[in-house]
Amino acid sequence: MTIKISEITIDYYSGVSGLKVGKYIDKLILENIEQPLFISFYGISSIAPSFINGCLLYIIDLYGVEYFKKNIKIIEVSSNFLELVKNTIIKHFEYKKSFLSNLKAFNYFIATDGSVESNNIRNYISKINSTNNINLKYNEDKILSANVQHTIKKSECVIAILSDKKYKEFIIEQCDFALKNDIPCILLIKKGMYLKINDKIKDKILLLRFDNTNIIKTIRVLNKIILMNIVKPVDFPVKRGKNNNSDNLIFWGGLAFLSDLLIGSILSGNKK
Amino acid sequence: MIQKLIKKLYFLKDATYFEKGLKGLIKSENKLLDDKFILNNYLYTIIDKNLDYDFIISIIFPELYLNICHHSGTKNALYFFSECSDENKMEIIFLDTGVGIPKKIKNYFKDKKFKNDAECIEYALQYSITTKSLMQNYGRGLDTIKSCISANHGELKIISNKGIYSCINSQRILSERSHNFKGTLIYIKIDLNNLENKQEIDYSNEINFNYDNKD
Repeated sequence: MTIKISEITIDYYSGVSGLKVGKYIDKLILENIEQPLFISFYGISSIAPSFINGCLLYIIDLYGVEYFKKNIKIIEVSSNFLELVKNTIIKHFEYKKSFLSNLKAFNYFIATDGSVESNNIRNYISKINSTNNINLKYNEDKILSANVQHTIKKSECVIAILSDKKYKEFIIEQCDFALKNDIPCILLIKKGMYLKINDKIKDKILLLRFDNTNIIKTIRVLNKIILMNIVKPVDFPVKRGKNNNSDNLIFWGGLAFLSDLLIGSILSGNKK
Repeated sequence: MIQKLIKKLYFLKDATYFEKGLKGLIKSENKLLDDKFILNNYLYTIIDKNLDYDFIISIIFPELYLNICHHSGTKNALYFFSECSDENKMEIIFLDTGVGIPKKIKNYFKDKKFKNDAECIEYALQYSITTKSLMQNYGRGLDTIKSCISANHGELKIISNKGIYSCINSQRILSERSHNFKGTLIYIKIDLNNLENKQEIDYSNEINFNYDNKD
């Protein structure tokens, strides 16, 4: 699939116009998730960095570096700004890397259930763990054992992923324990699974739907939350304990990490 | 309005200097394309039709123009382009009477300590430093402009609040004014001898990061 930028706008200089193109590309990706996308700059003789930001960096922010590298190809670029586009994107890849490594939370507790999705994610996590400074602990015991309790207390953020309803009890129990100890908690539940969750937990946790037929969409949702929070910090409706500021940093860190983790699990899944 | 703004620049150049050249007011982002078209005509018809002004037209001009629209908080702003024919150089001035870079930076990066206003300006010039007022702002504009001017062996001077940042031939100098300058003045000197001649556009280039990754 090919998009010709000159057919979408005539302004290649402003960020607003770039973002208009970025949103158009975003829509096309959502409609054709698995297809490679060719972005053509044919007929454009010059371009401003602000336009590239809105048009291409926005897509990297929404879908992540790995997705962009794998699925997007930029074609028919004028030699006038070839280096500008290339350098801007490469620098943004580096920035995204440093953004993740500068996040304030390094100690995560990953509560996964025993499903196939969980195993895929765990396989991927073990790969990235060696390349990041992130310290990950898993719920080896599928109960709230003393060992699990101790590990949760030592973590800065809990990420729970629930793919199979039959594992609901211990996942919720572990989230509940984290919340009681003022540890931010993100619970990702497979789309189509309906659970009755205690209101006290529901109010405090960030609950997200995980669509295993369209994981990119889930990643996009996570990244959009992060992006919106960077642009204009919002009061997220999650009420948590005392250290609100540091909690927020940890929390957004958790989201960023989770989106990175999900894209990785898809890509490693695809390679198989 | 334009004369009122130009008077603020008399400490930099005398009144006669501003009689020639291209000047215009910066009112809103919507006017950017029209003003870019006027600049394009000025450069190719008045200066030299054979030179490649791409980095001036597509980087310096829109980035500084949009910076003023997004960050200065004022509609009292101008741009000025003038040729110094005696030394084959071009001078570019952007002026706004807004909040000023140091004030804006200090308000946004509250946890960071700055020695003085010049240091704030230098900080704002770094890659990815942005007050992220809009989704599409990434803090790359000033960094890119600085790189382009360095590559041209040109001059960049920024005066904002009490800070003065200068960069000549990649040598940076930070200093402070005794009086506060309300707003921001950006002065750029481009060496026209270092511009390349205009070439035919080649559209056969591709960028594929997946291949780059494999390399």
